[in-house]
Amino acid sequence: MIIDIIVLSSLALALIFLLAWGMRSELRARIEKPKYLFQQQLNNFEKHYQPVDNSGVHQKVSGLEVNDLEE
Amino acid sequence: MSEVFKASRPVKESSADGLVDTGLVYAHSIAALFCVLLAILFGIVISLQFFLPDALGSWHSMAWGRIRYAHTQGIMLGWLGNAFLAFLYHAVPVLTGRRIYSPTLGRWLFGVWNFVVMLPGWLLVLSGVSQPIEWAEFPLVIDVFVIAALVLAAIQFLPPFFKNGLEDLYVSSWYIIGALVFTLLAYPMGNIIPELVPGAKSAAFTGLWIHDAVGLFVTPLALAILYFVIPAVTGRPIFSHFLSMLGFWGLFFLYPLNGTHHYVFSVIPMAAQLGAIAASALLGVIVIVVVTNLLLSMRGSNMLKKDIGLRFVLLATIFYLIVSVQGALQAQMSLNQVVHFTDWVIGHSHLAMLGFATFAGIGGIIHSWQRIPRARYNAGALALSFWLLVIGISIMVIDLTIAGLVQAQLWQNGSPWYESVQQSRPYWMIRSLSALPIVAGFGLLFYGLCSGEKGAGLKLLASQRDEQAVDNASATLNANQAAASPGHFLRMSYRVAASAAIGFFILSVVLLGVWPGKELDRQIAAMSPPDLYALSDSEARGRKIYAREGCSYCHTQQIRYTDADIKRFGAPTLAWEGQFDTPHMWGTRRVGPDLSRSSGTRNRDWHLAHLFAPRSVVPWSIMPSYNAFFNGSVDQPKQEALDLVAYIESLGRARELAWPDADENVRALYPGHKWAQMAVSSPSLNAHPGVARASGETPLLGGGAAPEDRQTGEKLWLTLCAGCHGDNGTGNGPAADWLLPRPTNLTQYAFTGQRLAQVLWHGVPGTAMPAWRDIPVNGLNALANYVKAFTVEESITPPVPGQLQTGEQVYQNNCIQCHGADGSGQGFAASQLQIAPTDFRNQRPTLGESVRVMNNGVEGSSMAPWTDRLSDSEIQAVSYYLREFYEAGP
Repeated sequence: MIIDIIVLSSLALALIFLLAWGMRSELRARIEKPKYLFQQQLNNFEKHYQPVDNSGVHQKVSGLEVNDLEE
Repeated sequence: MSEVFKASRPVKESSADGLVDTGLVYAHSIAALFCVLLAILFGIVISLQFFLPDALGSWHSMAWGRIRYAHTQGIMLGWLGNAFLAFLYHAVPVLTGRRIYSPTLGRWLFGVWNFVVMLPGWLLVLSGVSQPIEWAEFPLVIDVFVIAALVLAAIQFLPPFFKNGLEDLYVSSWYIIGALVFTLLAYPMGNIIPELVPGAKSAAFTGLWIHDAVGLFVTPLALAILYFVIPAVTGRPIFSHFLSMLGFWGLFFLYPLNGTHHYVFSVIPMAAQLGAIAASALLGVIVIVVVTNLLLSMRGSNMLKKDIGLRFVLLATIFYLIVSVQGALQAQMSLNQVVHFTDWVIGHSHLAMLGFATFAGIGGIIHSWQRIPRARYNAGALALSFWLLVIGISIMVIDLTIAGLVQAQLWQNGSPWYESVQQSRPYWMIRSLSALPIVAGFGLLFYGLCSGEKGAGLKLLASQRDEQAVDNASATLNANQAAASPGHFLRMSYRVAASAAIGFFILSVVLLGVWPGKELDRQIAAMSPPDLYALSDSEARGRKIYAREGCSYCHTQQIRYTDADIKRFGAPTLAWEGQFDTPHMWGTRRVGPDLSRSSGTRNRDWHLAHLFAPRSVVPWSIMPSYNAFFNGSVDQPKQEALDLVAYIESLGRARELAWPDADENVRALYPGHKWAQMAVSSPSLNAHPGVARASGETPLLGGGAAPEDRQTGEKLWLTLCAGCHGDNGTGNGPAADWLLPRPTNLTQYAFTGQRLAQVLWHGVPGTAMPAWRDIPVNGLNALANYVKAFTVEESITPPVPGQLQTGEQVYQNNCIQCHGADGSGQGFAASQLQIAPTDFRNQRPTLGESVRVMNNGVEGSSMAPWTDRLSDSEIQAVSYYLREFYEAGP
């Protein structure tokens, strides 16, 4: 009985996911949105770190008391 | 909760100014590296003791079991815990666009994790305060602070995720949320409940935790790193967020249901075992989906050559695939019955924790560290550390896997235990050698993060960025297009799935923990003998010592329902046998033999000698010495030694005493139940097959010997016998002085094949001479012939006339009560003696030995000195007389 519960409920959930994904095209697009949002977040974040000279990087620290390393 | 949400401070969407608290990233990274180096040092010390068991002498705090506790907790909580926290301080603000809840809280969390959990935890387990549960070795007092730290982590990291809708959460966010929530649920379940319920019920919860620790704490956070680092480095979104979410929900549904696969073929109800096996197979399928998605996300990226963090992540992905497929396979009964308890499983766990999780953790640390302003960064050292770690871990895992297969083959074909120990030795040495590149790799990793130019990581990043396939415009476009779609359906789906995941966790606890417990209670009520043998005070204290010293990491107390186990160790373990065992001592690995039925297999002297100097009685033993339990010598044991031996001697006694009534009860109650019937069908009357017995059928030994038998006999002699009887059979082996009665001087006796068969097959109850039924009969035959060759040929002066008659008279008057009129050792008083009197029909002493024994007696037996009652001439006469019995009887 335990096997039946595990296998059937797993299959049912997977099936629901797949059916929803296959039948609703807008859902297909919507479910992929977080990866693009994350990419935007990443790009914004990474863009910030640009070295300006040999002595270090251009990094403004505000708001938090971020420990500046080895100082 | 809304206050908490407000308190997580938002930052401008396009700015990263002060977003990441780099100080906490730095602090946890350094702590992680300290912890991993220390934990690996513990691991090396453990591994060296497999072939240099006396390397640490009597340094009790570094005893094998205690360091093993420190090793596993150091890797899971010290190394991976800190590595994951370092990553979270970088990842959560990037994922959410919001700062963590509080830097002050971060400092508290750092302090609690390292100075209230790790440091005291290590000190406590090394000083003997611990919990004998796999992956839960820190004592309960530390568990309280781990739970407190997990609560702090949840407060620190969870609020920023709930700023936006669930439908916009990226898969790494889901994994982080899942890990923080489910670890908080699973940790108390796995660390506290086994302390509250006994025996098999305790094991059921332990099984859940062993898998939850990996599946709900380590794996989700490692996967969060993989899903984070890949797009961050390649500059492209992952291949499919749909597949990633399918994998996420699949993992959280199925991981908790895997737990009982650690106890396949045990007394835990078979339905729970089969459920866990099915869940394990399904999990393997899900992992293939996850890994496929991750690999497709990396396809075509040229950043693998340039970004060291991504390189670690790629290897973590490959290790994840291998270890998960391996795990799904070894949960299946056909493979499980062969490889379980062997080094195969140790290879598997190292591949999971030191391969997959560690490589993910390093990938996360390097990725975050590289983005710390003005942090030093030495790319060359880090690149070299990668290869050293790949080489070291690959050698270790392959080596342990092969060792496991060798052990499995020997265990299955019934080979003596010493063969698996001896044949494992080269593999254990290679495993220790594999630590060299691993330590060098971690050392270089540390060096790579603390050397090099300040800010070199960011400079490298900037130079790489030009080559990255960053396409921000298309990301924005795709996000905007997707945003046009309604999110409420997805939001609702995720809410349902989140509820289902919690439901599956509860289901796992109910199906694999609570329900089996109820079923086990029913079994215990039905099968338990009415007057159950309970532990004495001394035995109960011994049990605590056994737990404290980590004995269950080498010796299981769980005989599985497999033919190989039953043949080697006796009747399989029934639920009632552990009903006073809180927590259980089932164990998950066998370096030494199972001890469930050790009662009656060795005597007290032997155990004390074995504890004090294991190789004195068992030359091939790799057990650490516990001479700290003695005041300098075996004959001065401390109470700890006596208690521990009392406990070991008690194991299996209740089951043996319960026979046959309890077995009949089981047969009647469960007539059609295959497993119940198997439990009461052992050929060895519920005791260990090697238990010493006074009598019984024996094989024929001592027959003709081929020349090669001499070598076999010599090998067996030196392996099994020389520790007590000495290399030359003179009874002066290293352990001889500690045993009463002393081992027989075999040069002074002639033995019939029947007598040797009796002694080798049944042992000598009451002495340290064990039964050697686990040695194949042809081996015992070779050994018997080898022993026969020890006998010295004596030139005897014939007895003077009348001397034999005098000897007969003396014998009749003084010896027949014990030795019998026919010299068979079956006099009317014999049955009252703990050690059977010598059977002179099958064992003939030299004249000198007879005189010596009658003059001195045999200390530790009922044979007293006779000098106060017999004159020298009478002793001489009876010595001549009893020789007449040899080979005279039937």
